[in-house]
Amino acid sequence: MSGRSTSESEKSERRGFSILLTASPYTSQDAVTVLQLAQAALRQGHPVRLFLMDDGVYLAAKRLGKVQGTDLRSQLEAVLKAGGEVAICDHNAMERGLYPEALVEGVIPGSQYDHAQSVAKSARVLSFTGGSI
Amino acid sequence: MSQKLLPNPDKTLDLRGEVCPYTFIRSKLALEGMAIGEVLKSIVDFEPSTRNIPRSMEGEGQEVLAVEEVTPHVWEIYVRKREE
Repeated sequence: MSGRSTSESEKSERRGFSILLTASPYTSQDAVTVLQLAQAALRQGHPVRLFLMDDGVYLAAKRLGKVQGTDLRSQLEAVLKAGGEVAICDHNAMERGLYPEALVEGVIPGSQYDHAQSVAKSARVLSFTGGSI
Repeated sequence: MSQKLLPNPDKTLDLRGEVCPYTFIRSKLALEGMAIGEVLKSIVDFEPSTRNIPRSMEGEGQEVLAVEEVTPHVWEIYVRKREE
Protein backbone atom coordinates (compact mmCIF):
# COMPACT_ATOMS: atom_id res chain seq x y z
CA MET A 1 0.00 0.00 0.00
CA SER A 2 2.99 2.23 0.33
CA GLY A 3 3.62 1.89 -3.39
CA ARG A 4 7.17 0.72 -2.73
CA SER A 5 8.52 -1.51 -5.47
CA THR A 6 10.10 -4.87 -4.70
CA SER A 7 13.88 -4.84 -4.81
CA GLU A 8 15.99 -7.58 -6.36
CA SER A 9 17.36 -8.50 -2.92
CA GLU A 10 13.85 -8.88 -1.54
CA LYS A 11 12.94 -11.12 -4.46
CA SER A 12 16.01 -13.31 -3.88
CA GLU A 13 15.02 -13.74 -0.22
CA ARG A 14 11.70 -15.29 -1.18
CA ARG A 15 11.56 -18.99 -0.42
CA GLY A 16 9.10 -21.82 -0.66
CA PHE A 17 5.46 -21.89 -1.60
CA SER A 18 2.41 -19.80 -0.88
CA ILE A 19 -0.68 -21.90 -1.52
CA LEU A 20 -4.21 -20.52 -1.67
CA LEU A 21 -7.15 -22.89 -1.27
CA THR A 22 -10.71 -21.67 -1.76
CA ALA A 23 -12.34 -25.00 -2.53
CA SER A 24 -14.34 -26.92 0.03
CA PRO A 25 -12.73 -30.17 1.19
CA TYR A 26 -14.09 -33.34 -0.40
CA THR A 27 -15.95 -31.53 -3.19
CA SER A 28 -12.95 -31.58 -5.49
CA GLN A 29 -9.45 -32.99 -5.58
CA ASP A 30 -7.97 -29.64 -4.58
CA ALA A 31 -7.67 -30.04 -0.80
CA VAL A 32 -6.02 -33.45 -1.17
CA THR A 33 -3.64 -32.08 -3.79
CA VAL A 34 -2.75 -29.07 -1.64
CA LEU A 35 -2.04 -31.18 1.43
CA GLN A 36 0.03 -33.76 -0.44
CA LEU A 37 1.94 -31.04 -2.25
CA ALA A 38 2.58 -29.20 1.00
CA GLN A 39 3.87 -32.30 2.74
CA ALA A 40 6.14 -33.17 -0.20
CA ALA A 41 7.55 -29.63 -0.28
CA LEU A 42 8.18 -29.62 3.46
CA ARG A 43 9.96 -32.96 3.22
CA GLN A 44 12.27 -31.37 0.65
CA GLY A 45 12.98 -28.47 3.00
CA HIS A 46 10.85 -25.84 1.26
CA PRO A 47 8.82 -23.49 3.49
CA VAL A 48 5.06 -23.81 2.92
CA ARG A 49 2.41 -21.23 3.76
CA LEU A 50 -1.23 -22.18 3.25
CA PHE A 51 -4.01 -19.63 3.19
CA LEU A 52 -7.59 -20.90 3.30
CA MET A 53 -10.51 -18.73 2.30
CA ASP A 54 -14.10 -19.01 1.06
CA ASP A 55 -15.20 -22.65 1.51
CA GLY A 56 -11.54 -23.64 1.83
CA VAL A 57 -11.77 -22.64 5.50
CA TYR A 58 -13.67 -25.84 6.22
CA LEU A 59 -10.38 -27.69 5.86
CA ALA A 60 -9.29 -26.15 9.17
CA ALA A 61 -12.36 -27.32 11.08
CA LYS A 62 -11.52 -29.43 14.10
CA ARG A 63 -14.63 -31.54 13.45
CA LEU A 64 -13.90 -32.26 9.79
CA GLY A 65 -14.71 -35.91 9.18
CA LYS A 66 -13.10 -38.67 7.16
CA VAL A 67 -14.57 -39.63 3.81
CA GLN A 68 -13.95 -43.04 2.23
CA GLY A 69 -10.70 -43.50 4.13
CA THR A 70 -9.37 -40.02 3.36
CA ASP A 71 -8.55 -38.09 6.51
CA LEU A 72 -7.83 -34.50 5.56
CA ARG A 73 -7.68 -33.32 9.16
CA SER A 74 -4.79 -35.65 9.94
CA GLN A 75 -3.02 -34.48 6.80
CA LEU A 76 -3.47 -30.85 7.80
CA GLU A 77 -2.09 -31.62 11.26
CA ALA A 78 0.87 -33.33 9.57
CA VAL A 79 1.56 -30.16 7.58
CA LEU A 80 1.49 -28.10 10.77
CA LYS A 81 3.70 -30.58 12.60
CA ALA A 82 6.22 -30.47 9.76
CA GLY A 83 6.49 -26.70 10.12
CA GLY A 84 3.97 -25.53 7.55
CA GLU A 85 2.13 -22.31 8.28
CA VAL A 86 -1.64 -22.40 7.96
CA ALA A 87 -3.77 -19.28 8.16
CA ILE A 88 -7.41 -18.81 7.32
CA CYS A 89 -9.63 -15.86 6.52
CA ASP A 90 -11.28 -15.28 9.89
CA HIS A 91 -14.09 -13.36 8.20
CA ASN A 92 -14.98 -16.25 5.88
CA ALA A 93 -14.66 -18.72 8.76
CA MET A 94 -17.04 -16.80 11.00
CA GLU A 95 -19.54 -16.50 8.14
CA ARG A 96 -19.54 -20.29 8.13
CA GLY A 97 -19.85 -20.66 11.91
CA LEU A 98 -16.19 -21.54 12.41
CA TYR A 99 -15.01 -19.56 15.41
CA PRO A 100 -11.35 -19.71 16.48
CA GLU A 101 -12.06 -22.39 19.08
CA ALA A 102 -13.48 -24.61 16.32
CA LEU A 103 -10.20 -24.65 14.40
CA VAL A 104 -7.45 -27.24 14.38
CA GLU A 105 -4.75 -26.24 16.85
CA GLY A 106 -2.00 -24.20 15.23
CA VAL A 107 -4.18 -22.68 12.52
CA ILE A 108 -4.05 -18.89 12.55
CA PRO A 109 -7.38 -17.06 12.33
CA GLY A 110 -6.04 -14.39 10.01
CA SER A 111 -6.93 -12.04 7.22
CA GLN A 112 -5.86 -10.95 3.76
CA TYR A 113 -2.84 -9.42 5.49
CA ASP A 114 -1.62 -12.97 6.17
CA HIS A 115 -2.29 -13.90 2.55
CA ALA A 116 -0.31 -10.88 1.35
CA GLN A 117 2.58 -11.71 3.69
CA SER A 118 2.53 -15.31 2.50
CA VAL A 119 2.80 -14.22 -1.13
CA ALA A 120 5.50 -11.66 -0.35
CA LYS A 121 7.71 -14.22 1.40
CA SER A 122 7.35 -17.05 -1.11
CA ALA A 123 9.17 -17.88 -4.31
CA ARG A 124 6.10 -19.50 -5.89
CA VAL A 125 2.37 -18.91 -5.54
CA LEU A 126 -0.18 -21.61 -6.27
CA SER A 127 -3.95 -21.19 -6.31
CA PHE A 128 -6.52 -23.95 -5.96
CA THR A 129 -10.07 -22.79 -6.48
CA GLY A 130 -12.03 -25.98 -7.10
CA GLY A 131 -12.56 -25.48 -10.80
CA SER A 132 -13.41 -28.45 -12.95
CA ILE A 133 -10.56 -30.16 -14.77
CA MET B 1 -5.24 -2.14 30.30
CA SER B 2 -7.60 0.60 31.38
CA GLN B 3 -8.80 3.13 28.87
CA LYS B 4 -8.12 5.87 31.46
CA LEU B 5 -4.41 5.24 31.10
CA LEU B 6 -4.41 5.56 27.33
CA PRO B 7 -3.18 8.69 25.58
CA ASN B 8 -5.59 10.85 23.65
CA PRO B 9 -5.59 9.61 20.07
CA ASP B 10 -4.13 11.93 17.44
CA LYS B 11 -6.57 10.48 14.92
CA THR B 12 -9.79 8.49 15.20
CA LEU B 13 -11.25 6.27 12.49
CA ASP B 14 -14.84 5.11 12.75
CA LEU B 15 -14.83 1.78 10.93
CA ARG B 16 -18.19 0.53 12.12
CA GLY B 17 -19.90 -1.30 9.27
CA GLU B 18 -16.58 -2.23 7.66
CA VAL B 19 -15.19 -5.77 7.55
CA CYS B 20 -11.77 -7.28 6.90
CA PRO B 21 -9.59 -6.52 5.14
CA TYR B 22 -10.83 -2.92 4.92
CA THR B 23 -10.60 -2.34 8.65
CA PHE B 24 -6.87 -3.06 8.57
CA ILE B 25 -6.23 -1.36 5.21
CA ARG B 26 -7.92 1.86 6.26
CA SER B 27 -6.12 1.80 9.61
CA LYS B 28 -2.79 1.23 7.87
CA LEU B 29 -3.42 4.03 5.38
CA ALA B 30 -4.37 6.38 8.21
CA LEU B 31 -1.20 5.50 10.09
CA GLU B 32 0.91 6.18 7.00
CA GLY B 33 -0.17 9.80 7.16
CA MET B 34 0.74 10.17 10.83
CA ALA B 35 4.02 10.93 12.56
CA ILE B 36 6.10 8.47 14.57
CA GLY B 37 4.80 8.36 18.14
CA GLU B 38 1.26 9.43 17.28
CA VAL B 39 -1.71 7.30 18.31
CA LEU B 40 -4.50 6.05 16.09
CA LYS B 41 -7.84 4.91 17.49
CA SER B 42 -9.85 2.60 15.22
CA ILE B 43 -13.47 1.92 16.19
CA VAL B 44 -14.78 -1.40 14.85
CA ASP B 45 -17.89 -3.54 15.22
CA PHE B 46 -16.55 -6.56 13.34
CA GLU B 47 -15.22 -9.01 15.91
CA PRO B 48 -12.46 -10.64 13.78
CA SER B 49 -10.92 -7.18 13.37
CA THR B 50 -10.17 -7.15 17.09
CA ARG B 51 -7.74 -9.99 16.41
CA ASN B 52 -6.55 -9.16 12.92
CA ILE B 53 -5.85 -5.43 13.20
CA PRO B 54 -3.60 -5.86 16.27
CA ARG B 55 -1.76 -8.87 14.84
CA SER B 56 -1.23 -7.19 11.47
CA MET B 57 -0.15 -3.91 13.06
CA GLU B 58 2.41 -5.72 15.19
CA GLY B 59 3.57 -7.49 12.04
CA GLU B 60 4.19 -4.04 10.57
CA GLY B 61 6.24 -3.02 13.60
CA GLN B 62 3.59 -0.81 15.21
CA GLU B 63 2.72 -0.83 18.91
CA VAL B 64 -0.74 -1.98 19.93
CA LEU B 65 -1.68 -0.15 23.12
CA ALA B 66 -5.12 -1.60 23.76
CA VAL B 67 -8.18 -3.32 22.40
CA GLU B 68 -11.24 -2.43 24.46
CA GLU B 69 -14.90 -3.37 24.08
CA VAL B 70 -16.53 -0.04 24.90
CA THR B 71 -20.13 -1.11 24.30
CA PRO B 72 -21.47 -4.54 23.31
CA HIS B 73 -19.93 -5.45 19.91
CA VAL B 74 -18.09 -2.15 19.54
CA TRP B 75 -14.35 -2.08 20.14
CA GLU B 76 -11.68 0.60 20.18
CA ILE B 77 -8.18 -0.35 19.04
CA TYR B 78 -5.31 1.95 20.00
CA VAL B 79 -2.11 1.80 17.96
CA ARG B 80 1.00 3.93 18.36
CA LYS B 81 3.02 4.47 15.19
CA ARG B 82 6.55 3.10 15.64
CA GLU B 83 7.59 2.43 12.04
CA GLU B 84 7.24 4.34 8.77
